[in-house]
Amino acid sequence: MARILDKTIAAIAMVCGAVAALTILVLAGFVLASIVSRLAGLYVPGLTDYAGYCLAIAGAFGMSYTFAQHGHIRVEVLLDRLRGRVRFVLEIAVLLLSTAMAIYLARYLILMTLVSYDFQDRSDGSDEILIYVPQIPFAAGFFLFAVVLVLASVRALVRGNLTGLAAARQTERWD
Amino acid sequence: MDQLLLAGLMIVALFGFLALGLWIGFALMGVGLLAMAAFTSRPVGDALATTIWSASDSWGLASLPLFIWMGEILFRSRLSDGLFKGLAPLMRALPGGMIHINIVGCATFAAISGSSAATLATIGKITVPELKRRNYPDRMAYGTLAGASTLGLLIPPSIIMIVYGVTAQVSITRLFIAGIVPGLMLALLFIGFITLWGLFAEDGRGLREPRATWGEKLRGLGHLAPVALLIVLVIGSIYTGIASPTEAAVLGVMGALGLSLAERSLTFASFIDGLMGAVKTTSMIMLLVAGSAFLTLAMGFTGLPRALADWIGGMSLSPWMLIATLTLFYIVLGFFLDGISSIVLTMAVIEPLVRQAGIDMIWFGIFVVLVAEMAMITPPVGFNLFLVQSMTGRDLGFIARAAFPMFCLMVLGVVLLTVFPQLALWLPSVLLDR
Repeated sequence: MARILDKTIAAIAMVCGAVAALTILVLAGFVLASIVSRLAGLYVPGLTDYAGYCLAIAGAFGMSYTFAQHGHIRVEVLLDRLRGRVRFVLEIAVLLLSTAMAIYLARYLILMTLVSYDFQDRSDGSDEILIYVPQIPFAAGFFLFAVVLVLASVRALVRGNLTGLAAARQTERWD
Repeated sequence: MDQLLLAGLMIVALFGFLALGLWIGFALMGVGLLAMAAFTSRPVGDALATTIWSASDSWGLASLPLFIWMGEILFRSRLSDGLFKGLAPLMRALPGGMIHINIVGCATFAAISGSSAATLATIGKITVPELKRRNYPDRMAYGTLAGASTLGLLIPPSIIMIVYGVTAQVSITRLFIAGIVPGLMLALLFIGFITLWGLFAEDGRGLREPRATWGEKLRGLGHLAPVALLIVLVIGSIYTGIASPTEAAVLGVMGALGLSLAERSLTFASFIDGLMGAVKTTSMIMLLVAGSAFLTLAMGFTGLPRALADWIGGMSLSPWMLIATLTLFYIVLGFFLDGISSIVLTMAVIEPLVRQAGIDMIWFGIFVVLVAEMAMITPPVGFNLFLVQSMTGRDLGFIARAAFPMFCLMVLGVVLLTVFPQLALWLPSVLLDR
């Protein structure tokens, strides 16, 4: 059971990370296009807006990947002093709280996207695209983040330990 | 009274969430949720979603992943070798010898990298083994590395300035230009300290390197050419107004990739590694930015920042007192948080206060980045200390003590910046208000 969860989490994180990486490449492409088009004396509306959407989408899809890589930062001074049962219970409580917040956030991002769709809202920028188009992948990234957190919570509860979480490593390093 | 009580509860909730080890972005979001639930009848979830969407969809922040990626590419290139080979003949005859390479190397790399972690990792990977091999004392070698790499924040491009600029709604270009003189000033303070150590300290006097010949120096300059080219490409294009910071970032990425290709250090694996490293750091920061944006919105509903600004304003503190208090406040936060976190954590409340006090927001940005630098080298939580620890295997206490003189020099830097605000404000006024 826990093994299957390990593999599922790793797979979702990897796919999300790949999507985020591609989105950063696309972002770079839009920014490059804005330089080139200006040098060429052309005006292409919306390039800066598209780069902004790419950032939002890359950030959203990167959430699960960053989680799997223990990249999200937190204060561990207190936790590092705790061991055994107390540490486990506290870590689980925090994980469940994070999961609840991620679900809440994903839910409202999906609702926001549905509202944009219902009203056929357009962006205020010079791109004037239908705003739900970039909002769909944004909400999807956070939805998958919530899914990964649910799976990680189940895994920790099934296993009864913190394997695979940042807590399992000594101290988090950010590089 | 009611407001005071609620303010107290918010602070308790925030520190509770942080102490529990909730991700900092989620801790900010959680306090925002509590504040909105307590103060308004507005639908909280909808406000959360739209705020986070509009904070994430941002042209100004679009430079973040690009500058981060650029640092990741250069870290994997042989740029640090070249930097060392170039700087060694130029610096080694100075009192303090090759320790200076930590400072000048970090200051130089800071001009093409946006983060202190990338600066530390890139410069440290070459200076740590080289200085060890030449029997320089660990205390000086590691302390100066931890301290000088924080210049990655102050010398543009700078990720933390991008985050501050977007949060405080001031021009990122202007911040980038304002950071250069204080950054150089800090580098000079470090250099001065090392020179004094080389002249007067017992272990420092013993270390004298042979003077380099002119031929060696010229060859050294050749090694520095690629770095110089990248600096001109990135900072030059911003300073001359040819490119916005985001555009300069993509030029930097192209330049870094071109450089790695030319020296044949770019492989498919290193390309993917660098890009995935950028994904990781970008999302880490985007979660902070999202949490901070929502907390700012929620705080607006509570009226707390205004009340605090009025309260502080009513005390008629001198600007000196205010700055001294804020410095202390950020130093204490810095014991437990890194620089970006302490900025996003406090801006919702501090920004109205600072504006009300009539402090220039560009100057304040430089101030806050400088105090954020200190946060990187203060224990128990200081990311640069952790990085040096993992590179060298020495314990945290030793590295923190070794970096303490650098911390004191940064405090001196804050004093100088406060006495002479023109250090930050002069260059932007010359370059941008022509």
